[in-house]
Amino acid sequence: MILALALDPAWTPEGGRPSLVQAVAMARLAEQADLDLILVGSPGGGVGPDPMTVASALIPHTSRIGLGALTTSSGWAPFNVARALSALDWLSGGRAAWLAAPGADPPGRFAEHLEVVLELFDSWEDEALVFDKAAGVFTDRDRVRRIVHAGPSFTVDGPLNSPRPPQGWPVIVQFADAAVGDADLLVAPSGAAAGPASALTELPFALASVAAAGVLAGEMAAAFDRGACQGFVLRPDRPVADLQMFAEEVAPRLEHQGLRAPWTGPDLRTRLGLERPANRYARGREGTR
Amino acid sequence: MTAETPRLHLGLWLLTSGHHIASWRHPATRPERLLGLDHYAEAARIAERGRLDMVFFEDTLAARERNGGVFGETSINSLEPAVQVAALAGATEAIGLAASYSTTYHSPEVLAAKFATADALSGGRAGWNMVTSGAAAGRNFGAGEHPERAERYAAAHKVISEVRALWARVPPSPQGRPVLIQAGMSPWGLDFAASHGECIFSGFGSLEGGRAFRADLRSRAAAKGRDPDHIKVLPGFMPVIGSTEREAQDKLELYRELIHPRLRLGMLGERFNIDFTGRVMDEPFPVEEILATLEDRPNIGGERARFLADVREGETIGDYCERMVRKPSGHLTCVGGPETIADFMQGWHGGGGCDGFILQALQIPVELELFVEEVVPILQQRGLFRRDYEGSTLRSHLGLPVQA
Repeated sequence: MILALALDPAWTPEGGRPSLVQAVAMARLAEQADLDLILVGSPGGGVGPDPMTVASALIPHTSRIGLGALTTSSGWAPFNVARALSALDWLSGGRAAWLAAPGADPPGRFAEHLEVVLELFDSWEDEALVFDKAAGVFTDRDRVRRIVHAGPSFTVDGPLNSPRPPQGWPVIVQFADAAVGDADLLVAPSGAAAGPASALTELPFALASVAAAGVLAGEMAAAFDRGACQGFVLRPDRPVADLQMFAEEVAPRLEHQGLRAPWTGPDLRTRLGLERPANRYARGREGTR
Repeated sequence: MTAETPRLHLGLWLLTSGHHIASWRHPATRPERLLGLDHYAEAARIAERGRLDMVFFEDTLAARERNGGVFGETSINSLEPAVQVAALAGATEAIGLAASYSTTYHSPEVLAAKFATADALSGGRAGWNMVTSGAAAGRNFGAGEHPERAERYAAAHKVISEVRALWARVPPSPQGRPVLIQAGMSPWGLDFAASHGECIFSGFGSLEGGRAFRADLRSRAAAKGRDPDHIKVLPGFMPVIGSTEREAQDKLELYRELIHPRLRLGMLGERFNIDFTGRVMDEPFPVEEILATLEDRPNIGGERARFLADVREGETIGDYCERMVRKPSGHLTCVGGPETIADFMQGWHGGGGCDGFILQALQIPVELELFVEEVVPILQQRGLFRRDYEGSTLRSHLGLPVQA
């Protein structure tokens, strides 16, 4: 069972959304509960805190949990998305996830945006970093390529000016009702009649008592066991208090039932049982130097 | 402000393994650490120990390659800087954290959200170096033609207005709003600095030049209705520190030798319109070839003359490189013992040349640590620099008013 925490902070606590200070506390609790990853941001709009900045700020406060940030194709140029996610993955030691959403874009533009970002990651081969002091070679320039993408919505030359992320690509998370192209995980809304079996179901919850925690654990186990979903995206009603109760009372029950296991690492993909993507240029696709 | 000697401000230009182009080859550098948080957290903490005002990240939106250039032969300096600043917020307590970010290739909404969020998460320590981006960036943003400088700055003025309007809808941080930093030296850049810049990273060789620049900027700002004391000018400064003058000179020589022949060729490629990759140091320096490329440029008069003045009859590429590596680097620099360095800084600051310096440490962390342990105490003893942080925000360190 995969467990993620939805983290959607506001500038000040309002309407159930945590403040930025609370966000840090929640990240620590989530790691304590051995959750797999945190997903920062929701496609709400308005001048809210920047999800990428929040996710990045959580790096030194955590050491194991995955850190995902929402970007929209309508709000961010693909080159900027690729650079930010690459830095998030490098600085976190391979824990980055990308919550990719279209924002105001039609599916075609969103799909092309996603494609360009992945091409930019792959503009560097994994072996490009050489660090050969004697020969004076930091980067093997023959292993870095322009992508020369020229599509209906985006014209991007490349290469990216950051090396290929340690995970290859960050874990790609998308919303099930808007998903296009490559996705490692899908998020389906709660109460969806039957989300795709590969999805994580959003789970708003409140835990007033230990008994309620027991009930929740049972419901989660049952849904997972009957194949309704691959896991859950937790949305605690009281951001800190309910998450704390979850960490103390629900997570251990799930672990006890063999549905959750402690972190082994070394990176988020491994933890989630996801393959490391091969570099598409290494797979014989043409690039231009 | 107290009635004592006005104090100077210090920032650290946190650039991967250090500011020297070959610092990655220094024995103390561990290249594999340059892509992890620990290296930058360690540097920021050393700077914090030294009570520096801020650490600062430059940025570009394109790979550094021009005619082969130095792409493979120097360290990567491009982990996205807003991600770095945010990550360092939790690894530091008091030091300011500033990132360069493009006004041309990010929307006002993203710019406003990013820096307001970093400011809130750091307790009011964020700064934004407003850059308009170079021509190479345009090709990565499908922009068609990258806008000319005048156009970029005109757009940047609008972007700043929009960002400020968006910030007005966000609760203020302990410092109000992020500090606005500017570094472009063009006429449009200067106008932009005088309009919006609170902290200016400049670059000047002579004290007279620095003094004139600072005076000019202050009077332009005053003409726009701003208090000139609310603009701090910090030129880049690259000290070469030894226990003695001799030792410092030896250190400089050591760093020159770190510049591998491949890198020297790459630097020539960056400088001229010819790819030097694969050439050999023993070859004759290709004067005519380079002159031919200068023919195409509009302002050829000065350029041709300057180039020809640099060239020696019958020298090899290696000879030319050897001489160029010994020329003044264009950085403001001082080579000597800690007292000499402190005297130099005091002279510039006391002479009205600047409000402080942005430190370009040759190598990080070793040369940074040397500066903090040997030079900063002298400045502190002379009453020129703080012994302790007085406030907890970047504005308070820089002596800037809280901005609404």
